[in-house]
Amino acid sequence: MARLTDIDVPVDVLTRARSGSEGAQAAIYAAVAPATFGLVRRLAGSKALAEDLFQETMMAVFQSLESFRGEAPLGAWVRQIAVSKCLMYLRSPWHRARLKLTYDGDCDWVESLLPATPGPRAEVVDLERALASLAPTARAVVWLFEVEGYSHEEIARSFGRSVSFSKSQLARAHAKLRQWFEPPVDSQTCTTL
Amino acid sequence: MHDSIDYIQRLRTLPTEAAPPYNWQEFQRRAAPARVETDWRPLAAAAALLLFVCAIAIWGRLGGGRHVVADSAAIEDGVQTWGTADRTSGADRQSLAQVNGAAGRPDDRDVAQGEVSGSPGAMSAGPTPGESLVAAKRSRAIESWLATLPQEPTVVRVGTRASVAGLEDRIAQVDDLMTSMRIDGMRSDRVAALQQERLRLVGSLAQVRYAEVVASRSP
Repeated sequence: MARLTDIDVPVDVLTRARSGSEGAQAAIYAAVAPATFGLVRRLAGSKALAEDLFQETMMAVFQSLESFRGEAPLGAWVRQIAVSKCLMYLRSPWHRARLKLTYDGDCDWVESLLPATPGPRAEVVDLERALASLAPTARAVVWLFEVEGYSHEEIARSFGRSVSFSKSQLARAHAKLRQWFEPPVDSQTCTTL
Repeated sequence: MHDSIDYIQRLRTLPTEAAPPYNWQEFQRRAAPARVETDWRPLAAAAALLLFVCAIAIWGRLGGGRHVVADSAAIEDGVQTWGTADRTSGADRQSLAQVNGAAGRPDDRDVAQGEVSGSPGAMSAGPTPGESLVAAKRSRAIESWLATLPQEPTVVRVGTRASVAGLEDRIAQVDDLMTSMRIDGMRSDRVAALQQERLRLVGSLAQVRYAEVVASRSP
């Protein structure tokens, strides 16, 4: 599985895509779309919302392809756009209220993120369910910090909040995940008759 | 049971890719309406149309769009100018003067003839059938001009309205009288005298209505 930051395209493809070549643009889409949708899906949570954000991200990518300077791999630039779109959505008061109303810890969407290849499926399902049990903001912070390698400063800047916000969100998320993987032993279940 | 320290490592091994919801063709199809939305030309056209409609409405409100259908008799009398949609009060005044001119300034004529309506004798001795025909044409010309005026001004003055109503009633009475006289086959000179009377009344009505319109337009 390729990480988005590792994906790059040849310079000539990029040049042709900038000049409007549909074939080159299709090649770029094919290269970055799976990893982009994976990231967006992870941050957004719901499938419908992820599809909307994915569409917005890809449109932004092709509309501002001219401004890509090529200093980093194309995937890293696309990831920045995708994360920005997702966090913009998460931090908007209107959508935050909507998320609060609709968030019920539904874990059905994790099925679509499971690998198609055979593997330790039970473990993956467990991890996905644990992630899905987090609130959208906490899940985004955990994913960006632990998996995507963002620093607290970068996360805080992306959310438009303070560094302590990022740290507290991460701490709370880890506490919940630990609880998920190590449920407290109920001593009362071992009472003697 | 999972190791709590280990789960962070395993988080990093989770799949980072997911099958995109649609392919490149579908993405292009979905992106097309959004591109159309950024096209400002239809909006600009709609704004221009709205502006045009507003301008027409304001123009019509100010009385610029008034059209007058000229009476054929009036055209015969050479008073076409008031039949070509005069747009200012000055033009209205000119039209009224022309109509009065075409009508032979009925008030002056009344003075010269000496109380036409008041004396039946004078009526019978005055106008000839030819003059009656001319009076009828002039009367129609004035009525055509009256039809171009607004039906009723926004601000109504009681005295003026009463005068208008009184004149319209008297014109209707004269019309009834002329109709019954024609049906009874009475003398044409008496019908002609009534026609003159009618012309005088219509002339007076035109002057009162003109004054009313001018008063309603003044601030």
